[in-house]
Amino acid sequence: MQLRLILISMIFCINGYGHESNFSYLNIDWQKRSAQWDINIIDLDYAISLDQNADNQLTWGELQKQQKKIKTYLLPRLQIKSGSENCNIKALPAQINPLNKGIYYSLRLTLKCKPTSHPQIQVAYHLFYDIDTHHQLLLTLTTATKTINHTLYAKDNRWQINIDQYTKKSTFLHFLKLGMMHVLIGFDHLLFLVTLLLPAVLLWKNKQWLKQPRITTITWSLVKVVSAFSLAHSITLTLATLKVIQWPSHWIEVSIAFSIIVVACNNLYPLVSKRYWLLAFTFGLLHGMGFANVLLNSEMAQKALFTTLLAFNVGVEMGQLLIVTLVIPIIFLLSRWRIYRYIMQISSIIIMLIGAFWLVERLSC
Amino acid sequence: MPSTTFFNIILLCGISISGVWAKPYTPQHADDIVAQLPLSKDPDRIKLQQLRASLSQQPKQLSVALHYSYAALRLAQRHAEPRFYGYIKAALEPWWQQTPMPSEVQLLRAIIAQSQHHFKLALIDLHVVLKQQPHNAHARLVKALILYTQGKYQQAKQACTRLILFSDHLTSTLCIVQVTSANGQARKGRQLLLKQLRQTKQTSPRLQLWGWTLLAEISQRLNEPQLAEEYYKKALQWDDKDHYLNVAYADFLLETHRYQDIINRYSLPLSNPLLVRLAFAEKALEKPIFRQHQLFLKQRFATEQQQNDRHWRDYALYLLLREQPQQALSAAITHWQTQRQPEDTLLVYRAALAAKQPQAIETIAQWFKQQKLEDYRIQSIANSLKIQ
Repeated sequence: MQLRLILISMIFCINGYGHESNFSYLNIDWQKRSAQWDINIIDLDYAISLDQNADNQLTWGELQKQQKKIKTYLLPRLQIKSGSENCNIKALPAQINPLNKGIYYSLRLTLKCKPTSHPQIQVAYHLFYDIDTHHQLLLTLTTATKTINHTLYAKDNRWQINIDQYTKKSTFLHFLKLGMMHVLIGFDHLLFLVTLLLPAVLLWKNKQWLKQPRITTITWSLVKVVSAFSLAHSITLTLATLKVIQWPSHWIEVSIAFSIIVVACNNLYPLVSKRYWLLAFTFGLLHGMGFANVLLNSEMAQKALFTTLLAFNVGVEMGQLLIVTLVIPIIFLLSRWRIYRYIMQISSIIIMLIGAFWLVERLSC
Repeated sequence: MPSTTFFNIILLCGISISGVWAKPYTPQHADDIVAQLPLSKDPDRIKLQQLRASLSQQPKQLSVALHYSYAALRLAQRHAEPRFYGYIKAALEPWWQQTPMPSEVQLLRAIIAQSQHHFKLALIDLHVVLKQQPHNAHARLVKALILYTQGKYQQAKQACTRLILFSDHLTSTLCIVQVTSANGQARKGRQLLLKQLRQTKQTSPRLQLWGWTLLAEISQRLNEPQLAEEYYKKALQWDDKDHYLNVAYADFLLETHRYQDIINRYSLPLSNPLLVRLAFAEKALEKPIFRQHQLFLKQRFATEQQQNDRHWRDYALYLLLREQPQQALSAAITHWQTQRQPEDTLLVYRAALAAKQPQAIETIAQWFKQQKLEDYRIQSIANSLKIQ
């Protein structure tokens, strides 16, 4: 017995296929309620003997004959819960997945989970731990908003995670907020708008800026400018998001910077002094395409275009409205002073320089 | 061979589709081969499955669990397949957390640790086992071999000598010669061992395998390739599939420039060490398949890196294959910090030669001289690099 037990430890550097444990892979797409489970055929063979004719090879036919046996072995060893109830896991016909660590038995799974208000997913995994404590499951969970990776071990074979429940309502609110933020923080849009509003309280006459006395005129022209701008950017925002029009975003950014220079210069020497709203509309078309980039780059938006487009648009308008209601009273008050025209001109120069700076920056990037 | 080609094709599909989320496919025909199961016919593994069946009937029976574990251990060593260590751990799970751990279980834990290069942990466990069971020859042997691997020849020799009391003559001779042949006693050791192997009535395949392999390796170091070939052939008769032997033999074939022999002998699926050596041969003969195998190796080593499980020796060889001598040298030196068998020292020298950096291995060169390791390959590199 002693001699039999004296096995020669010819294991000076046992470097087989790597000291890695054997792995299985599980990729869950939560939105589709589907998953792909890949199990190494060698591990599976050890557990339930797949090579029926013992010729060291596994043919597709051999494997297919044992589908039921394999599924009966595998499925009870995986549980996925949504909220407090186990999902019903159904396996579609298996496939073969050759990964560079071996040949894998690949099961596509569909999950039938009861709808729940409790946004939690639980995965419990028991495959092979009774045979091999080194076995690991590499889990990837993809939700609407993120992709999470996790490893399950013999000693740690349960995992749960709270997922964001993206309802229509929360998506709407999310993009509403995003729209608002984009305007409030999007300094270039802001600057453009303010630049347009500055001369609203003045009148260009005889080659100089004079105070516009009539409040109704002022109000009416403000309304026209803001509305024209809003309408224009709503149109192009929609068209660009729906990919009806597509301009390279680099040039859009450059043009936006250019637009700021134009309106700032126009404040100094107006080529356009009446029908400001036309200027606002024209450049509004441009700015709308700039807004669209946010939606075009958002995976989430792409999945719910109508909701997100509407929400974003409304958000942009709301943000704009906020700015306008803050800025206009200030302009009004300032315009009581005689030096207002100089304030406007100086501000316009500064704005023009900022615009020029952005132009150069965006051109060179 | 059609099946190998098919498997290679499948592997290539796997390679060309990078990342875990490769495309699964449905094979077209029932007799399409989807996988090679190299061990499914192996009698040892079949026996192992039977043992597992009986173990699952009595999971708390230590003797059954030990029987299973040793059967798995033999497979692990023979095929260099680390899965089996996981199997052993699973089988011994009921005792793994026990304090005190039963000696037999602790010994297996030490052996698994050793195989994963956690030498310090292994030695700690072995120390405890030997304290409780001073007569435990297996534990003492494992300890001796760890010490040998670490280059602590004096201590290793001591442990081997103690083995004389508790084990058969051949085993203790093997142990002693393993150590002393790397420590200035190559010819004497070889002679002694040869005599023992011929005379002994001990026909344990594992011991014979070890013996002839060791004789071959010593002969290789002494620049006697005909003898080495003869001994390798004898070893292969005892076990054609043993992983350690095959790696050593592949090295021998490379050194004697027998590249076609390597290509004829080794085909996929292969472990990393064997695949690297095959790739060297293919590169030397400018075989087109070299590029695929190199790519395959690249991905395997990338996976190792991802899992934080770098095997420095193979990696150093791979870097030499890729003609990146600087990195190869630093990998070889890293490896040498924990393992100092003659092959490991040789690897460092090879890398230093490729990188033309003799100064990087000054301490190692000193050690080499001190230990009186007789290895003509190392000596000739030392001469080329003009290391004293």
